[in-house]
Amino acid sequence: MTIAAATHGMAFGLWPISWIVVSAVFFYNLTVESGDFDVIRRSLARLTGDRRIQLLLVAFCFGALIEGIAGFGAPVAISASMLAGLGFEPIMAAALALIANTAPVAFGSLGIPVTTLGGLLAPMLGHDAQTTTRALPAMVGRQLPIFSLIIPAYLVVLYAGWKRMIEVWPAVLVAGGTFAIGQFTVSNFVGPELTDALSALVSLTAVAWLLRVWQPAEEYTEGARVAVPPTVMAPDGHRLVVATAVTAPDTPKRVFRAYASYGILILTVLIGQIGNFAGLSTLQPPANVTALLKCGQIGNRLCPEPWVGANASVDPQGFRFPVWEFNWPGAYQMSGGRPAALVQREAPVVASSSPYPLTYRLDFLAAAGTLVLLASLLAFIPMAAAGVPASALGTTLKKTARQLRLPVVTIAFILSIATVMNYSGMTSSMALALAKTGVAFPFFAAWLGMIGVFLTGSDTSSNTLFGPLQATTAKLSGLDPVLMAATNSSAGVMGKMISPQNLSVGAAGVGAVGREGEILAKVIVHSLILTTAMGLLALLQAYVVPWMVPAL
Amino acid sequence: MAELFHQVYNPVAGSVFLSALTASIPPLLLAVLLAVLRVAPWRSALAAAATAFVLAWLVWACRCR
Repeated sequence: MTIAAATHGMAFGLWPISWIVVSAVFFYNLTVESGDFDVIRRSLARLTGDRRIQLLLVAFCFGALIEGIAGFGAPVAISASMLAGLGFEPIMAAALALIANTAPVAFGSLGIPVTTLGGLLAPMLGHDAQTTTRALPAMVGRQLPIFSLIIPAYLVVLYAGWKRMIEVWPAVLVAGGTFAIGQFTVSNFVGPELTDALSALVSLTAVAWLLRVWQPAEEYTEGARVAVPPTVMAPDGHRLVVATAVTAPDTPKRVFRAYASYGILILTVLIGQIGNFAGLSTLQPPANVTALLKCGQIGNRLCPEPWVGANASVDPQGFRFPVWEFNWPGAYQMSGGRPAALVQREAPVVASSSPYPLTYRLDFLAAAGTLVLLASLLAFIPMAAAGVPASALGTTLKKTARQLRLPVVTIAFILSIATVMNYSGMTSSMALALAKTGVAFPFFAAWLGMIGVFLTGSDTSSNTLFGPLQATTAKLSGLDPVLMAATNSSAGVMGKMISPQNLSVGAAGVGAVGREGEILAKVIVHSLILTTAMGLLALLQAYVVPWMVPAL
Repeated sequence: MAELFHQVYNPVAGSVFLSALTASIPPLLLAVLLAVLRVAPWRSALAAAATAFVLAWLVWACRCR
């Protein structure tokens, strides 16, 4: 039984979790290989000479785009090195990139922190994974936008002071406002996968448009110097070449093609998820691509019959395509032709003794990872037409595999810890003790999430380790489990800037390895302030404005 | 027929508090290995997963009750 839980956790870590990570990083590496990424970087640097607006564009908007697609430290490494390349003082550049990397983190790597949490919580809350992974991002999307709105102002005040922030208030307001609105709308009405990428693009475009009709009265270029483009190595062996704006400008056609690669990614994932949009869930297949890709999935009324294999109601264990759902071996017994869970949860964690099923779902086509891989191949068509050799696919694949070999193993083990602890009852033991903190629990919940990210460096890991604990404690204390699990994620992002792992990525990004301590000293206060604020917001949402919590 | 496994929440000396303390060993170990001892992430995760496995197997799922 324990073996079943441990292996299930590892398998869940590989599919769907690592599958998304690998394809997302593959896509990102492909745009680096084809040169699209450098083109976008240069086009951003050319938009304005004002330091404050460069900071917003690079650290906030562009950083969020990279977080939404690649995640795992890439946004900090990239935006820190870009800022340093533009002439920002290196330690300041790293600190600003780290602080900017908060608002988008819960939806990083195509929403992986919240989708992982949804997968772990679904059997615990007695809802299917689909419903749970809709409710969680909706809740996070009712917490983080408040912070997204203020982070741009926060950054500029830190960099240039309050007075100089007021001078560029239109840019600050447009960057934060459009991102916050995008984040709320997409997470509540579309889903977690594209929340960051779409909001970041909207925000980037909005600031770019604003600059056409408005420019700061006085261009702030303090500390300008001719930057020598340093070549630095990120800790994952990824070579970061910091380009400056002095190279020959790219043609508008080239710039368009570069942005189009990201457009293809977003369109492909959007089309694949069309059935998840608010109001479109009853759309009939084949227009409803989502239902089509999930044919044969239990509960899919629009396409109940699988393409290959027996119907789930006839043979619950049989192999089916394109969605194979089965009970994990060693964790069930057959009774009356149906599999029944062996693990029973008991009072007071649940009202009365009830089964805790350990099921596994291989959604071959509908998984976000598959859609992103497909998008990468589609995006490669225009790249190939423009002369990128086909061998670039192989090189990129090799590079991605080398980069992610160890992180994937780590993810599998961490998910294994979570599953073993959930199914053995260890998580509930901790929750029972935590529930004794009483009415102040929402405040502590925020700190627990932040400590989880501080220690592991990842919101996904923090959600995996503490999300189930938060949800169980919430149920025991009469609070909403969705609210508390989401708080773990939303507050977790505030711990990212002080986690040793991300500090070293930031330091490497600006070529200041060994000066992590100085960066930490600059950011730690802000991590504490922002976590406190999130704790207060969780308290408010738990007791004063509970209508903000989405119904499961 | 396999036996149903009924979860127990206070396996350590019948105390919720001591059980919670014991249950917190795997995440704490992961934290110490990663942040204090600077062990490679995959090794830290493996060590913590092994600890969780042993605790679950010998304490929470113990057939001695």
